[in-house]
Amino acid sequence: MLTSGLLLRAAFAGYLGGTAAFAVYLATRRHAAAVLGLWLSAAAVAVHAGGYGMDCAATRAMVVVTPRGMCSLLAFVTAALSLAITARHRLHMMGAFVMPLVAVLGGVAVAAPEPVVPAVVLHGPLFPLHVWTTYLGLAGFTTAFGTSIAWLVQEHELKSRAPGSLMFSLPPLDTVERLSLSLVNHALVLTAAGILTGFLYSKTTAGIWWPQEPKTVATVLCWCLYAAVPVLRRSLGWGGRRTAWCIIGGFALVVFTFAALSHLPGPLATKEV
Amino acid sequence: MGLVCLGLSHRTAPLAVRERVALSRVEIPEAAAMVRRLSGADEAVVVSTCNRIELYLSAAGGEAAERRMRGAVIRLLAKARRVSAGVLARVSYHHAGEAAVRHLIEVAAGLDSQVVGEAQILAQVREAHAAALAAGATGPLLNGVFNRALAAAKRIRTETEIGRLPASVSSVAVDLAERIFGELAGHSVLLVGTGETAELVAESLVGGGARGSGQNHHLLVASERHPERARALAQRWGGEALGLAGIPSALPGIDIVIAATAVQEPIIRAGDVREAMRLRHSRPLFLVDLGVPRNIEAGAADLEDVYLYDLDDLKTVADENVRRREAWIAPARRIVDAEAAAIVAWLDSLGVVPVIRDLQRFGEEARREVLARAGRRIRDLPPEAREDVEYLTKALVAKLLHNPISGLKALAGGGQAAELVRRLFGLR
Repeated sequence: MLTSGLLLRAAFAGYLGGTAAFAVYLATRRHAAAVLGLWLSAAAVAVHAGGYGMDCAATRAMVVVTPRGMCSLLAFVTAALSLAITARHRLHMMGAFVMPLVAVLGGVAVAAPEPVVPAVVLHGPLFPLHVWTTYLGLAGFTTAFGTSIAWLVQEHELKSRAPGSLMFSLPPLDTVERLSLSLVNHALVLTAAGILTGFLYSKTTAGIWWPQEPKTVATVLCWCLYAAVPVLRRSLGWGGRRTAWCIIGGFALVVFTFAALSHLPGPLATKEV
Repeated sequence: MGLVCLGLSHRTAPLAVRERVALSRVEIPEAAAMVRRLSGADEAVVVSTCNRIELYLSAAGGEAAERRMRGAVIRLLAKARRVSAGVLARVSYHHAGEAAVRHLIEVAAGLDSQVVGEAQILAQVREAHAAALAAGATGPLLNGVFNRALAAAKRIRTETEIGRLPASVSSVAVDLAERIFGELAGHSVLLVGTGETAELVAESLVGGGARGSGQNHHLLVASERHPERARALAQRWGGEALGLAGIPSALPGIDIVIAATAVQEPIIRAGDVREAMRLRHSRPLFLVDLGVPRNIEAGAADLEDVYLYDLDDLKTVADENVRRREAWIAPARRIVDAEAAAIVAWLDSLGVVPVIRDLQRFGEEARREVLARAGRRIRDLPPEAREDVEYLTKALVAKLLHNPISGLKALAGGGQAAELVRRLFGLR
């Protein structure tokens, strides 16, 4: 029988396959491997959409608070974003740096317990808007993390004065840096919208603007850290390696926010889906 | 009808012979026409580069005709270029049929070049074919073979990295600049020295789109000993000349420095670069040091966002790329095999074309003969009925000949089948 768990596992397998194919492309620059990676990842995204949709249908709510829900949605949005960027900019190396993250997120989602029907369902028109803007922003940060790693690898190759074959698989430093900054800028706007709609949602449902739960605080801190990237670039001319490390640091905070804090008790804990 | 390739290249002939027989671009069309006229070939294409001269000929008549043609071409070349025919016979090679097709694809793809995968040869082969075509020296066979071979070579260059990895010092420098900056357009270049090497790299960079300094949109050329030459070089690329003392103040506005001048001490100090980087706000700086002794202090390489490559570094990368290119030879040869087989199949199909043409002519003549014999019975029919008879007889002939023609095409290359069809239908 077709269950959401089965579809999620199939999507996870697709992400793993895509990761392997992109890794082969990175190592050998065989175009066929990149095309295979794209198809496997695209198929995984489609299957994942079905699985996540079934989870949401079963609980009659957006599944976003449990580890399974969070990781599943973040993996799905990040994979879709990565594929869109790959197709638009013809940057096949994206898959090699972003799909492993998607595969890890997919793996966590597969390992986490199935969602249960919640005691209190999070609903209302603001909630989906809050979730989608936040997760699109987070996917942007996740993808920027992948591109920043790619930048550091390419920079290391060029700095070494004896670059290996990896250099030929990676795009120019300037291209990767522009892409990372563009992702961060867009993600900042989306996350800001997510935070604001979250505050509005809290006000309309709980009567308070600031829920004072650790995840909200960490998300705002995350946003501030990422906001420092364009600010420092404009004011102090920061770029290159410093920008890459800032983006990587920001992502570490994102991981901390969602991996560690999701297990802490908070006002939303009773409503988890 | 057969395809023959006669030639000599860097693999078989010393430079002393190659330079004697090499043809200039303007001589090639005339040479193709003359070779065709005097060798007895039906079609001819002459490919002449600094590393090879090759003649692709098509002629009917089998091996004996090939031998005659080869002898005629060698005598012709020996006479025209005053080289001993014996020497030419010794250093030349010839390929026929599939081997000639394979060789042409390999030549066009750069697999047979001195530097494997070099880019110019594809354009040179294309130009050679175009020149022969313009001179009226080619026909359907060589046109078909060259068009297909050029497409095959392009496929090899697209599907493998045989020609993508730079293999010379100047192309490695340009490639590295592109790996750092992406598009080179709009980036500023400082050329230190006016020597040939520096000029070559600068020309490649300017050709790649980099030009102008950050402030005045001009390439800067710095030289102390040859200010006139520096001015001339700068003028050629719409830039400006300056003295060596002006380098530190110019550095913050420069993206790429090519230093290749003869000095005993580095002229660009790490301190100068550090100061420039402070003002550049993390914008990368690519330093290419082609000087021996080195022109740029090695310590500059340790600075953040600075990428310093000296001559040894560039040579190492170029050598490594040549090795990497060679790793693509086997996959490239697999494409050669497939494409050569397809071209040979097409060539074989050409052999049955005259039979098919004769068969169709036979059918049409038979149809007209029968209609003529019917005479008045047809002429007295109303126009619509006459049209119907025309249509029906044509359809009948086409239907009857369909299977023999399809069979001939399927058995392309089978000379016996063509002969059998000729006998069965009484074709001459």
